[in-house]
Amino acid sequence: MQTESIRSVLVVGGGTAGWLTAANLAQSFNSAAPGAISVTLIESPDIPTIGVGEGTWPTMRATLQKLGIKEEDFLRSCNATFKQGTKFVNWQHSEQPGSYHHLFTSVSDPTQFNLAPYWLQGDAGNDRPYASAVSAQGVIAELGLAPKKITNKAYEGVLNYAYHLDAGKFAELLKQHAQQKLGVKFISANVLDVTLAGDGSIAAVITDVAGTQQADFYVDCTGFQSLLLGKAMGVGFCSVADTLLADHAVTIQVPHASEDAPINACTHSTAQAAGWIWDIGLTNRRGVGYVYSSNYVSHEEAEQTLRRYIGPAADSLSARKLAMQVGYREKFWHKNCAAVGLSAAFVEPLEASAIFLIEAAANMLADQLPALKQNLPLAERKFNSSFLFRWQKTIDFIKLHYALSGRTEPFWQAARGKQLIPASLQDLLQSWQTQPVSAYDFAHVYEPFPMESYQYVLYGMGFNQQLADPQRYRQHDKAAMYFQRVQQLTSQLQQQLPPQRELLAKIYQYGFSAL
Amino acid sequence: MTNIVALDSQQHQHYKLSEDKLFSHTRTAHILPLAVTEFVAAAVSLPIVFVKDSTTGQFRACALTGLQPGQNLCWQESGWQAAYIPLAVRNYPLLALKPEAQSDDYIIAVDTGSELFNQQSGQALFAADKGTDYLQQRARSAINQAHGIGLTQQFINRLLALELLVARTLTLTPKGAEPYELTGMYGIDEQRLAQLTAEQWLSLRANNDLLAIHAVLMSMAQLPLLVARLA
Ligand SMILES: Cc1cc2nc3c(=O)[nH]c(=O)nc-3n(C[C@H](O)[C@H](O)[C@H](O)COP(=O)(O)OP(=O)(O)OC[C@H]3O[C@@H](n4cnc5c(N)ncnc54)[C@H](O)[C@@H]3O)c2cc1C
Repeated sequence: MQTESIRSVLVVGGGTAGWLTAANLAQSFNSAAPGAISVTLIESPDIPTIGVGEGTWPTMRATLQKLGIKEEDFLRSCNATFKQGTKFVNWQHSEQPGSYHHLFTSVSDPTQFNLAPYWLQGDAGNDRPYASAVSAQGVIAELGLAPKKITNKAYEGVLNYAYHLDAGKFAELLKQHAQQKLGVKFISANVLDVTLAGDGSIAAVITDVAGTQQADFYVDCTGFQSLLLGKAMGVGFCSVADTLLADHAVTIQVPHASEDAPINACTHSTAQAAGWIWDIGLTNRRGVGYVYSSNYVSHEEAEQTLRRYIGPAADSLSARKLAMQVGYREKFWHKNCAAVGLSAAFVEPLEASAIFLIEAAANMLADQLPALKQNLPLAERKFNSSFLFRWQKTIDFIKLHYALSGRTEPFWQAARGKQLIPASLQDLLQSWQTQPVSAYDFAHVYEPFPMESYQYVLYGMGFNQQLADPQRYRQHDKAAMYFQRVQQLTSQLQQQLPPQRELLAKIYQYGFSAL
Repeated sequence: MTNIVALDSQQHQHYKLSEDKLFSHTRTAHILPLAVTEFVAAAVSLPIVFVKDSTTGQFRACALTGLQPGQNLCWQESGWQAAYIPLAVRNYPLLALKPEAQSDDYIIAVDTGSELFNQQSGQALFAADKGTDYLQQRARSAINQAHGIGLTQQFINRLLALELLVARTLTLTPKGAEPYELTGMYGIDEQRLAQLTAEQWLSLRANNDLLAIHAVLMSMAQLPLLVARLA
């Protein structure tokens, strides 16, 4: 039995996690070809997907390309738009308005040449915010311009970009594509029970209308329920509710006032008394939601805050409340089952980390799922240590946003309480008070957030960094050249890049060229 | 300023077309549109390249006449210098357009920004509410060209489907100046052409594309001659 090979994979759950994983595995295993490893997905016709999760990372471009989906088809069918980062509004102070950008493009890769010490020394001019010193993208995003032109290839940008997308339509697109092009078999049924073998591995899933289904390997994509890994196998949940305080979200979908209403070119995230509101622009509507802690604000009040944020347009619209379990499973892979998506872990969606960690998990699974069952334990160990690291670092990064805030409401005071800040983050913050962020702070290849992300947040939030030894940073001419280049690019790109809607209309009409 | 307007027997009844044998309107054009039907004739004097249209991102076929925007090395004060004169150049300022993508008919339009289109000199366009013979003849030529552009689009789509186009960057080193790169041009991928399956090759033959493909490849020999015109 131990030398048996793995020939079939059963994915349970058909949300973003289920379809992305099934499509990725089928593509990697060439499942459409006869004799290849089979990939089957079971989805409940009755249990809805979570229906949120509309901001992505630039990794999504590589994912879609790998799956063989045309960029224009994706954009059209998911009402998708280009995302060029996040604008954080009022995160620093409660009274004094302010904002900063966390962008995807920087003029110099900071791991190669770090501009921050020069910006700190005033080389970019004294009042220039960090983001606009090192990147043209903030200005471009503020103007609502696209990150590319119609003459760029599919998936190629003048500036780096991700997407905003309609989660429901995205799962639908993946579902069609995975079945028609990639050979994923689809079963519409409710899983009623999961049976275990003597060694605690999954033996089968029992469904209402499709009988008993067996596979050599199972992927749990059942959402917060964690039906296979959590419920059936009993893998425990490590809550981080004491580190990240938000535990609910209330959301409203707001149709655009007109067909040509401008679309935000980055996610907006606006701090509120007990959390923050996301505002994501699709072609036909905005997705807006308040992520809050129910210990600091009542559900009614939270919804009122969200409605006030939206204004009169919210009056006729219904709101949806979601409870969030923040934390991660003790293991993400156990014996013959791996969990991907909400069933594995979740933290508040401040940096759109969920979908990109789904992509990462699907990639690693596609690469690491062993051909022989005897090699499962090693793959399990590697996967678990990799994703424990990635989730812990994600938690650190989210926490960083709170740790640096000077907002005064009780929620915010509690959120930055020192005892709640993970030791790993405290160490970094301590060192960054007197020395720049360094590539060596991010030595792991699978670091979820790159060095530049930390810098955008740190400096955007007004972190007080006093370089103990500025003498070490003497390449002022080189830095000046970069700062100047950003200024040039900023004015050039304003001339060259089209508004989001204008580009999208052209893409619908002409598509992008493959070369 | 270019301003394309449909010709109208009422509105334009007093207008005339004069001809400019020097083709001065091309003096700053570094690329000029070319139809696939012209490739063989053009290939002996001009490099044929593919570029993306800046408003649609779609590929178009062009004759390369300069090595940077604004420069036409095939034009001098004494007039057009290359042996072949593209149809679009000869037809200017007239062009034929389809009112809708699907339609079979063309309308004739004119660039009213051109001095060639005026009320003083040249051949009359309309007489007694009808197009003159001269206009008929010019319009036929414009329609020919438009038809050729349609065929060119289909030709390009077949090249794209077979992945036969490849980006080409030209590195130029003008005397006494910094080297620079002319980007945004695409050519035929010779290697890929050699790797086509017999079936793919036959599909090209069936569409009569082989001649055009080879014309493009052979036209590359004109590049050094174009560079030499810099001197
Ligand atoms: C408020 C909020 C905002 C978010 N914003 C973002 C964001 O901006 N960016 C981002 O990356 N992520 C975001 N996320 C996270 C993101 O929504 C999820 O990571 C993503 O949608 C994946 O969900 P899922 O597929 O794991 O689960 P779900 O969407 O819940 O899917 C579960 C699937 O399992 C099926 N299922 C369940 N039980 C059974 C059963 N018994 N039998 C058969 N099938 C079953 C269901 O039918 C469904 O298909 C957000 C999350 C929340 C809560």
